[in-house]
Amino acid sequence: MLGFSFSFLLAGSNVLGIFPTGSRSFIFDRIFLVFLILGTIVGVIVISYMLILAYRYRENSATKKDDVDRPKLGELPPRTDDGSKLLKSLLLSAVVVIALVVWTYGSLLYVETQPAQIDGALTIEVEAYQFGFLFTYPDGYQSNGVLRAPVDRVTVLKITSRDVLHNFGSQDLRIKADAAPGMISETWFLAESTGTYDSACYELCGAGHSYMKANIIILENSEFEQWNKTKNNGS
Amino acid sequence: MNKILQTDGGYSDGHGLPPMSSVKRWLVTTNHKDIGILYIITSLFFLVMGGVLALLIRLQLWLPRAPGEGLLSPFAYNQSVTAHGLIMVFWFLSPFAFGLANYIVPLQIGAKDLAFPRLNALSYWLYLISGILLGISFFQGGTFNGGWTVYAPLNLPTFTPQVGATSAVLALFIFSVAITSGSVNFLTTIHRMRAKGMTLFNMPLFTWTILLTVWMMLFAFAALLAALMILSADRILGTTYFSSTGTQGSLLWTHLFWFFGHPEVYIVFFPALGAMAEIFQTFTGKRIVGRKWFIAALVLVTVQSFGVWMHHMFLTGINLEVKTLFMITTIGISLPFDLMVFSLIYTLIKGRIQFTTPFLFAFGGLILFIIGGITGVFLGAVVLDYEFRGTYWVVAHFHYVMVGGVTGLVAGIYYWFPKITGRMYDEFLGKVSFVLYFIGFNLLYFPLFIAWETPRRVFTYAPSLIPWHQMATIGGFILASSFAVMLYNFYVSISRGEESGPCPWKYASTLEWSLPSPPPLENWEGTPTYENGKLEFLPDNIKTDGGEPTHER
Repeated sequence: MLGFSFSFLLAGSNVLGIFPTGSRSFIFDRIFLVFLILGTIVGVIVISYMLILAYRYRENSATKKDDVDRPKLGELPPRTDDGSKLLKSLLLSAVVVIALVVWTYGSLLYVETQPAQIDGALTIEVEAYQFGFLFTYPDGYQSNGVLRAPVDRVTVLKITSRDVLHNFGSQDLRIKADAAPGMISETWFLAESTGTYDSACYELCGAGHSYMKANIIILENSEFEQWNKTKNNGS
Repeated sequence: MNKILQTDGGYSDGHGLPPMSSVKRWLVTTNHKDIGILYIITSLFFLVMGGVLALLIRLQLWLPRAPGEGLLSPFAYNQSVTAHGLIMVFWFLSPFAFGLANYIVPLQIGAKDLAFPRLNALSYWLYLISGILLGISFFQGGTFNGGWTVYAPLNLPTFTPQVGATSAVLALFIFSVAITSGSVNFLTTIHRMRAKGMTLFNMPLFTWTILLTVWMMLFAFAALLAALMILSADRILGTTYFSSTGTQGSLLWTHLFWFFGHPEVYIVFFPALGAMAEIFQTFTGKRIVGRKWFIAALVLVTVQSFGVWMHHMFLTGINLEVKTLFMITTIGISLPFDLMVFSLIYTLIKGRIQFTTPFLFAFGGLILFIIGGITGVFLGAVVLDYEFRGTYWVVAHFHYVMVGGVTGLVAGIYYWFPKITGRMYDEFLGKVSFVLYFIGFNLLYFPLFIAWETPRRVFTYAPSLIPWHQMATIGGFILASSFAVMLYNFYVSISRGEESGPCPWKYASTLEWSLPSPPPLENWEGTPTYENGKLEFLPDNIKTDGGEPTHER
């Protein structure tokens, strides 16, 4: 696993900021943008090239091409060696694709390893069920369908399921993890601004799947601490 | 090869089979061409069934709905998305491809029939029975409604108690048996019954892709069959292998399913690729560029296809090391496809391209596949995959790939229509169907990339995405209309089309085009051979040095 250890080296020395790190939204948006731009360029070039060739070599075009040996009925395919152009093209596309994915690998390592290193991150247990989400705070406080978390601080989620396979996700905050019965999957997020965000179930789980939603309310740090202190009194 | 066989409508020697106009003929036949036609027609019925479900889904998505709004209840919607997926992947795509393969593969390699004609008929009838059972399941309290991936533990009676859900599982089970016996049949035929001089390397590319498809089927469907046996035991006998209270039943199912499910993508796509390769060669008047590399790439994908399944599970309980490994294998499997795409594109160079309907579909299919491939690279980057999981990005991507495959097979059905019926389809209507198809397809699936933040399999979504979903719904109906034009074209042309003769295409090179259209029951008189480097027919019943007649079988 040479690539693997190489990439760990990469993760440790991201001094130049080669690959994106930070909140999950930032990482996703940056990488998505680069992929979109490159993907569009490659797609436009390849498809235009196809169309140009198809037009240029149409049957009735004036281009001379009678020197070509055409396939004949009942022939066996001749053994020719015309693969060098093909292999060069393959090499080019391989370089582009591998470079892109290796580049994102640094961010993957960051996403997978960073939250474990943060002291004092808020950890919330998420239990998915047919059809909702139950959030449990470190002090045992439980909240159904509403998750409150502070802004600009890493929140770690430990996600499981009471019944079938669900998936807890929020497009706004770029959170997503499977909620499987009997297993705990861990993920994290970092919200960069306050407000109320949507989250939903992303795995078909039964008749109520379309309406299996929860709110994520992101509060200022002080507001959150205030709420955190008083949350057990209210109810 | 100059010996064109003279027969009366192709079926003078009926071997006691009733004529094609009688219903009994189709019930008792074991002939590969008859079975091929049965497969094609039956699969088209399932295309209509899966298509109607798709249109219902698209109508439901016209607007974001509150519970009970729209055509479908939440329960009916879940049944629709599930059955649409199952029908299109299992009961339409593969059988459609294998209808063509049944008809064409023996003709391409010089065999009189498949190795086991009765087993072939059995495969077809099991396929039909399984499909009918799936149809019945809708009326047994509702069919299975947990998605085409049948994830555990939602697939257990605790969560899906309907009798129809058990019927759907049994239907899948019978279907897998049909596929497995079919793949054994094709493997034996292609490896053992080729004409002399037709080495593996010399085989036409369509036959190559079918050979590799059946190899994948043999191993992939074994995994599915095993999983379905355990699931049936859970549902009928009350065992608890996939239960949520035991140890990781959910994870077990996911592994078993995707070990089958990823090769299944190539099982579905390969025949289309083979048809596209044949059609590119015929209508560009060029042999494929880098044939040996193209074949090598196909073989590589076949082997690699069994080593990528966990990329469907990047969020499902696997650790970083395994994620890394499967990220690497996933990128690895995209590279042979790059090579095949380049090979097809370079085949255009110095061609004499005829823009017939089959070529338009093959060319269009390649464009769609390229878009599907590029958007697939996004999913190969694990950090992006995390966010795309369960969204319309995945839906749009695999429809570009899978329905891109359908495009290649539609090209194939136009291409071989004259061979199968002896008559030409209407070229103008064919082109109309292509234009409708290509516009409808892109209007249906491209907006889904833009509206990718919609969660899969729900019918509530952000109101800002309404225009994109409405565009997609309109596109869906345009795509459906192109199939209507195609089927009308075929229906009319079967009786009124111009007679095609043995070979209506200028640069066709494979064996099937040297036979009358349609070919006689036993395909040819005499024995086809490539021993002298080109196709010849040896007279029947001559003694060889061993003293044995040169009969097949």
